[in-house]
This record gives sequence, C-alpha cells and structure tokens, in this order.
Amino acid sequence: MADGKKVLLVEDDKFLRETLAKKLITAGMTVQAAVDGKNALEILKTFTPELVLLDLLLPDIDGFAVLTEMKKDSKFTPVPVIVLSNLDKPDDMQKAKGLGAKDFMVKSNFTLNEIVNRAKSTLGIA
Amino acid sequence: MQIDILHILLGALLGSSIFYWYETRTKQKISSLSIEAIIHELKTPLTGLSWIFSSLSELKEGELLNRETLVLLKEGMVKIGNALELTNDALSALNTSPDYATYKFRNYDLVSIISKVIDENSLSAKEKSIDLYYKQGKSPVSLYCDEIKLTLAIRNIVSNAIKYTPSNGKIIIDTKQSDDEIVISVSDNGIGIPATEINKVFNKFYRAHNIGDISGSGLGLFIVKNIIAGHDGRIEIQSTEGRGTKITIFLPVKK
Repeated sequence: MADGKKVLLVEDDKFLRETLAKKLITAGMTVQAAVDGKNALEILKTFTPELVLLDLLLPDIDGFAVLTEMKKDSKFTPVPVIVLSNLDKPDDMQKAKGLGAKDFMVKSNFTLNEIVNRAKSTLGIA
Repeated sequence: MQIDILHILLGALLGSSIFYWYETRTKQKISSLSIEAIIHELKTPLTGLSWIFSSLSELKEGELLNRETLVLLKEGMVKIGNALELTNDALSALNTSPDYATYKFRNYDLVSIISKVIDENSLSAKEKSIDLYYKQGKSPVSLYCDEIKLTLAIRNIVSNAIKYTPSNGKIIIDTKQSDDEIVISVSDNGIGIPATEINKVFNKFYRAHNIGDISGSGLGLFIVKNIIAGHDGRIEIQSTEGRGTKITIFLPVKK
C-alpha cells in the first residue's frame, strides 16, 4: 500500500478528477484534489504533497504557471511533479520539463492503473 | 477588429490579389486553429471513455454488472453524449464563421423563426416548468437574413436560457423594430453570469464557474457571436449572478 503518501491532483474535468482521485485513494494515498490552478496554489499554502499530478490546460492560472510558482518556493523543490495532460506537442513537453516537471504523461494514452503505477514508482513504493 | 478593417480597406484600395491573400490566410488560420482546439477538447470525453473501458476490461468474468460498473457504464453514456455534442457544435462553429462560411441571405419572417425555436424548446421548458413566453406583435417582421443560421443563433440563446434557469423560472423573448434596426432579446431569471466572467462567455470553450454539473460544449455563444457577426449585427449581454441574464441581438435592416 502507499501508506498515506500525500498527493495533490490538479484536474479541471470533474469526471477525470474524481475517478483518478478515487483510484489513488484506493491505492492507499492521501489525495487533495484541485479544480484549477488557483485552487491548487491555495491548497499548497497548507498542504505539502509528496507528489503532484498536474493538468496543464486549466481555467485562469494554467499548469505551467502552477509549476513556475511551485519552483519559486524551496519547500516544493524536492516535490516531483508528473504532468498529466492531453497536450502532446514536444514544445509543451519541453516547456514543462524545463519548468521542473519530472515526468509528462499524455493522459488519453494511459489507463488509470498505469497512471497509479507511475505515481507509485515516483513515490518509491512500486 | 481595426486591423481586420485596415486589411480589407488596403485590399480594396490596392487590388483584389491582396484582398484574396488576406481572405485565404485568414481562412487557413481560423480553420487550423479551431480544428486543433476542437481535437484537444474532444480528448477530454475520449480520455474519460478510455479510462471507463480500461477499468471495465480489467474485471474478471462474472464481475461485470454490479453497482460500480453500472455507474461507469452510465458515465460512459454521458461521455459519448459530451463528445457528440462537441462534434456537432464544433461543426456549427466552423460552418458559421463569418470569415470561413457562406451566408445565404433572403427576406424572411422573424416571427416564424422565433415560433419555430419556441416549438422546439417547449418540451424541455415544460419539463422544468419554465414559462417560455414570446411578446409577439401582430404583424410579421421581415428580416434580410440567413434564416437557417439565425434560427441556430436564437435556438442556442433560448436553449442556454432553459439550461441555466432553475425550475419554475421565466424566459421572455421580445422583438422590436425601428427604421434601421431589428432588436431581439431573450431574458431569463436563471443563475446568471459572474461579473468577472461576462466578457469571456462568447469565447470558444469558455464556461463560467457557476454552472455546476450542467454539461455543454462551451461553443453555444461562440456560434451565436459568429452568426451575428455574419449578419453585421451586434450582441449585448447583461447579467447578474443569481438573478438572471438578458441577451440582446441588434440586426441592421437591409433593404
């Protein structure tokens, strides 16, 4: 089990957010879910995750901006971020990696189990 | 918009080749941008479907129908509906773009357009006990328009009003005519639009934050904007969150 590892999930689509959150919780993780970038930054004021799963196209403050803000705070420097987006252009991938994302998953190309397994291996509990 | 006018004026002054170049460039730009955006938006319901089917396919034989899988199957139907609605609206958006689509104008009676839209929406209004009312004048109102596209614009506004008005609400459609303008308004006492978002609701794929679980492609008002621009008209939107919205279309009288 994932032993209550703390995960921040940022996803604006309600179904995708709730389905993935449920799956991560079933795998034993403690999940905080944010509906957009602004909500994610608010949650990060009081919640220090051990992993962030981050969508990129979000209303108002997008995932790139969340990454930028996170990397300004040394508290979040060691926190791995897996980008989980349907953007799939090399430019977007490069930009996200350049801003500090550890991994980039095109969400339509992966099943829920594959995403949970990637989250587990990133947390070192595979 | 000013740059567009400048290009058109320059095109007209300097000859048809520049004007044609401008048109071609604009068409390519609009269609390629839109198609990319549409494909990206379609990926969201398709991702949902992919996750649903992968979860179902991981079940063992005999496990298929239980409460959880039934929920997944129902969600799958919703996602298919979302994808189809998006596909239909995306096609409408492309087919109404004033820079890209062909408008076929003729004189048509506005009253019959509105009556048709009311007929089409009467059932969904009745299901929510919404009073859908048209302040109809006695005589027909002749309008030089593409009636198919204008019907779509009014249909989108009225169906939005029904969607975002709670049960027992009221929707009033009104038309007014002066020498140079025909004015069509649709007012509701629905959930309204937050003040900070009112200038964004005509943007493609924009959906206000207060819509809750109400589904939609985010293209309905974008299509309306396209169609009214195709008629050289303008739109005004007034709204108070929690109290209602009034959308007014102004169309020039062309003789």
